[in-house]
Amino acid sequence: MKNFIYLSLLACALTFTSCDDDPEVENPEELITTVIATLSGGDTPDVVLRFEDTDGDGGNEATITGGTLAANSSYSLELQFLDESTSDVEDITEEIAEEDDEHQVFLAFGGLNATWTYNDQDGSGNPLGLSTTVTTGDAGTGTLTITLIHEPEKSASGVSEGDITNAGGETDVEVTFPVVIE
Amino acid sequence: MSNTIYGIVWLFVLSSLTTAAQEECNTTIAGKILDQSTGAALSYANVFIEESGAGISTDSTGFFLFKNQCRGHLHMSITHIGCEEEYLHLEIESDTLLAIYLNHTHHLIEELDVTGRYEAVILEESSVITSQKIKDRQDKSLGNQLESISGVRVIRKGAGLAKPIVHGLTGNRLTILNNGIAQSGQQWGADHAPEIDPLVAQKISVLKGVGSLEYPGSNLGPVLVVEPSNIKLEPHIHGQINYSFNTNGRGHTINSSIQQHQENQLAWRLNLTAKKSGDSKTAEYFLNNTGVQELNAALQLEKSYSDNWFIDFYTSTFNTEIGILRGSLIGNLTDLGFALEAEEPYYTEENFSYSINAPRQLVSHHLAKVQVKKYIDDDTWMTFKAAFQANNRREFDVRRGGRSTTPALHLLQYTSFTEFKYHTNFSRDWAFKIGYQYNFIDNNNVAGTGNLPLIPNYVSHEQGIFFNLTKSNERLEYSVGSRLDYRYQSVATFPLSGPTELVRYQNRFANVSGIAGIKYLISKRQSFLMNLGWASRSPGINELYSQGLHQGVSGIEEGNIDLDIERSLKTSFSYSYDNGSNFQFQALSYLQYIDDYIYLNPTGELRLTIRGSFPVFRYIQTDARLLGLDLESNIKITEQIHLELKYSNVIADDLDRDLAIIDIPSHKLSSSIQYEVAKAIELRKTRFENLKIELNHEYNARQNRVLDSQDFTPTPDAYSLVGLSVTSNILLGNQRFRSYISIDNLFNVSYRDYLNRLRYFADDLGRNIVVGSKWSF
Repeated sequence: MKNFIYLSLLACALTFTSCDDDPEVENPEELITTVIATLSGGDTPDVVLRFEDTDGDGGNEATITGGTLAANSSYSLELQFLDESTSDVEDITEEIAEEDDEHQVFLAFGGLNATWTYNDQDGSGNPLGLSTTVTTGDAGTGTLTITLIHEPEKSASGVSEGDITNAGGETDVEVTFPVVIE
Repeated sequence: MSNTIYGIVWLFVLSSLTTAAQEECNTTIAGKILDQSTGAALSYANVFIEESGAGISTDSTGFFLFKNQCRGHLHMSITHIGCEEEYLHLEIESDTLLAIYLNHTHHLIEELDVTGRYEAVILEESSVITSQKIKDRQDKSLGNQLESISGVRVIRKGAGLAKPIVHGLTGNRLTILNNGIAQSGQQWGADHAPEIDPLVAQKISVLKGVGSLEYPGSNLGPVLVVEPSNIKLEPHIHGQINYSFNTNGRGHTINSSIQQHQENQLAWRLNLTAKKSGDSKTAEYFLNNTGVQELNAALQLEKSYSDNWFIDFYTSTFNTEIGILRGSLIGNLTDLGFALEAEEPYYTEENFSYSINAPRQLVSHHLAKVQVKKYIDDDTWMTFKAAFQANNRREFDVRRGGRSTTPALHLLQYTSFTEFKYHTNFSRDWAFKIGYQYNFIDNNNVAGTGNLPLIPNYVSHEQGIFFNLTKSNERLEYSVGSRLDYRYQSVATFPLSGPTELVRYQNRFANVSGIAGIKYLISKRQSFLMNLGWASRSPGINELYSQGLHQGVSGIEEGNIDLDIERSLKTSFSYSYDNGSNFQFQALSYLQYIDDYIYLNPTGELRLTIRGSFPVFRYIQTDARLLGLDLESNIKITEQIHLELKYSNVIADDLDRDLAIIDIPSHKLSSSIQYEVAKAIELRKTRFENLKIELNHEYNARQNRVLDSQDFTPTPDAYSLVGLSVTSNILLGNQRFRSYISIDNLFNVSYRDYLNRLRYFADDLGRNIVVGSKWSF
């Protein structure tokens, strides 16, 4: 009987381990906080569209800067993806360029008279979209949505022409800018 | 209690007939096989003597006779349709007459203690899956095994991830006991399957009543019990090897167990399981990246000292890697919209593959348990239990920059549990049980995932005391019990708003539970059982603190630190009728109110992130009502043809908002017709015994109580599945095998199930043929 109680106490004591470990600060390595789309062309100064959410999802709201394009003009659009969550700003664009066959950018105009085409290719000759050409038509007010897809099915129907419908994959970035053509 | 045997056989060596024979091998062994509950003779029971390879069937009076058997050790196995196979070890010195009782009963409510000493349990309606049934479908995971019990359904994420839901309760609300120890891991996740190998179990049961108060964790209702049997006294090493192949997924499963129990020696049993399967297939296409690999082992040791001390030790390791359908990994709502439109999931390939890539889960669960039991006298005993669990869960997502091999979620949880229990029977018909439990959990995020943790680090101390008092006489049995729990949690988390600032919370929860039950035997054939239980549950860690994006759910999940305890009042009523020969019927109905029921509610907010907009879900509380019915009936149409019918339904309502609760199954009706060939069939030198052909059908109704606005798509249509199986014991020369062929979804129907989380993306499984064989030695 006595032995039994000792045994019980011993096992209880063994289990009263105190472990108050704090979680380590994780550095979200894949975070993209900022999208910068620079449209340059013709004689007009560059138009820079920006989406910034430096504290990631939640917290403070994102700031979105739209832009105004000239009617009936052609622009070259260069994209930049950044992680600005820490003071050590990381350029994610390089990572995307390195894994070009696993990424593709799609543009979509909402309510605007404009078209676009790919300007770059991945290693297998499929479009990538870090660089595109945008051609504006008549004046109007609307939006430009830029989507970055990770692991799209580039060979699926319409995908290499810039149709996102059959692309599959995961959306890494989907941002919408207010854009005016005048 | 894990040390339970479910009385199958009582062996009585009645007498020795004649005097010892002169020669070594001219002994006669004869006997009668009888039904334990009715005493009726069992004809066509198959008796097999391993040493001589002799096998015969009993005649219409249950009688069998072997001539010219050798003296000495003898291993006899007895099979009869509807019974578990029974093995006996005999020392034959002279001609012997045996009376062997087999238990035919499917429903077992009372437990028998290891020494045969009776222990009263809380009155519960339970359903049992027997060892043979588990082994005849060894390709199935624990969740899928449980589905054969009425009232139990399964929440799935593809073929490999199956999580039971009993009477509408799952996850944090469902207690799973593995070997008498509450399974402790990341139960909160809808895609986190229980980390238990069903092939170690000799018995899986579901206590379906209002809840048992003996166990820590949720006492809201159902308890799922997975337990191995005690190791039978038998001087030789014995074991079995069971191999099966299933066509859907081209899966191989091999399980082996080996054991020995010599009188007064340490008894041991070792169990090993290995599984590998690849891409499963719907009726039309492969589900890419849905392979499963599993490697499990368990060791069980038992020893008794001086007839009063019993010590048993159990340790197990469960390791699995599960692929998740590649096409089910989506980014935002736009992606989900595309996926819902698509005919086939994205990334569907023409070819089958065994390879498992991201998204996938890598999960290990280890358990070690020791139990000491001391008898003070025949009516009084004490048990002490200590258990340690480690759960290591890694989940991998498709990520950029070669990070797919770095887990996106990595949680390590340690749990230690100690229990002290005292049991006594007094003044003839009273039984009293009291116990104390302490459970300690240490949950850690392992650094290096490159993601903000979905749930925080925490430690939890939980202490509980319980008692139970039972009075039973011949026809009436009453039981009352109560339980007190106190939980202290210390939590450290990074809020989403400022990932570098650590926030700490201290939580204290006290829970009180109470239960009262009455069981009345109206007659020899009818009985009813009524239970009333009051219980409460502390909010789960995910409900309080989860934060972030849930892959596959396409929503931002937010915990709520203001959540309060859930309080439940449940009453259950069950009635059973058995006419003693060809008709059995059981009905169980229950009504449960849960005040402050915690659920994930869409807030209506769309949060704009750089990956697009996501709906925000937040844990809130409401009042819920669950109303359910389980029916089960067995009808013997003739001696050879049996019919089994099962029906279950749950109606779950959110009373505050006047809406149905989501993720609750609808009506299910299953029926099975079994044709048993009682007489052994001889084909050349092969003998087929206990040949059974079963045709089954299940109808799953559409969950049409859920509104279209409560989900991304309307709930899937009703569907029917037909299955066929043939089982037999085959005697081939000196060896005996149990063999089986089963076909699921015989007509290769395309369907989607409401409880399968892949239903947004893909059809459910197509036809699957399983062939397997078990060899005992």
